[in-house]
Amino acid sequence: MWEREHQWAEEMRAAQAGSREAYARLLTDVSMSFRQFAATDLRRFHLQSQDIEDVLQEVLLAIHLKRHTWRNDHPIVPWLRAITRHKLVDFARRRGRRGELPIDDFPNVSPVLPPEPDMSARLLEQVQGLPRRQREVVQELGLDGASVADTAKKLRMSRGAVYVAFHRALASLTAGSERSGP
Amino acid sequence: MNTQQFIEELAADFGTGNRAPRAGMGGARLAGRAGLASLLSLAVLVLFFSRSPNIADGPTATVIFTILSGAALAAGAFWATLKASYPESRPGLWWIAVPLAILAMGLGLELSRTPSALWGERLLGQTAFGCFLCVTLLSLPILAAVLAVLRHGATTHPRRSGAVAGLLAGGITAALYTLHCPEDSLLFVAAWHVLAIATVSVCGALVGSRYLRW
Repeated sequence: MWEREHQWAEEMRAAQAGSREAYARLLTDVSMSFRQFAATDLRRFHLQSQDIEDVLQEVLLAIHLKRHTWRNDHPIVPWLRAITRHKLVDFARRRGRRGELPIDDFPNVSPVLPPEPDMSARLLEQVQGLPRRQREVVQELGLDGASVADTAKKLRMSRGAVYVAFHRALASLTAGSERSGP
Repeated sequence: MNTQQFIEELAADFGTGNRAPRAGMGGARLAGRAGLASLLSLAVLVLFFSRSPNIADGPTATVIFTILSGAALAAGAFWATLKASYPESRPGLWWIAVPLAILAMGLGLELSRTPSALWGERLLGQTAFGCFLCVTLLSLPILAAVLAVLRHGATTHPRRSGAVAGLLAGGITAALYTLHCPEDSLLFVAAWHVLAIATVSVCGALVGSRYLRW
């Protein structure tokens, strides 16, 4: 799965030199490898098949946010592998803490839960606790239903930055609701 | 969100933000931040603490061995911290043997020169708790600076990296503190300074296990 050291290192170097296409290609390649690997190795990390894309996006975001920690005279595969593993373990740990079980094991349980009465109030409160940028993005994108492009224009951020802020906000909201318990 | 769409957005974001890529992080950032914080601790020492009698007429053996082992600890920890900030590496701890060996040599020298009846007195000294507290507290600004640099990196071993950051801060402070420390005994240093360094390291591990997550 990880035999593409040379190609990927070249792609990342090209990205550092300013090629968006090379970066997108690298992330796409990594995604494909990840899916293959995840499909065969789900159980080891206590994942279910519907988790794969979620974990993958967390991995991609982590690669993106830590891209300055790759030294371009070092192999890239161990770097990618370390980040992937870190995120997988993190995901599995969170999953374990929540004690979630595959829904297939409970065929008679309805997956639709009754809405929690004070959920939205608590969520809004948590949104208020986010850093300013993330709060604004969640407000625009999540609550007012604006498009990514409009949000980016309004907040004068790049579209990518909007995505990143939104992802981070969701991650900390999820973490927050886990901490306070359902 | 569709993954391919997400990738396109990340690609559009590649060159923006203060996390824009550079070729490696190098030691400059770590050295700069840790150095600045050390200057702060040094300034506090020089301005608010009395001068040690052990350096007035040239440094005593205690001062020399303390500085040497503190510097060796800091140098090893600096290397390990730098390594720890990359996700693919796990910092080793073998380098701790170097400052310990220096300390052991100095201790051997001191013990061979002093009658064993005085060992207990030298070990306890007069200012044990004060020294312990001062070394610990003066380390904290350095620890904070080192942890901040580590957080910018991507350690996959938060607790261990935090502990190493504590050793870096403690090593620097122990060496600086010889400017003030009134005790002229390496037995004392081995007991109380080392205890302070260990405390800072534990603090680093505790803080690191949360603060260095990503």
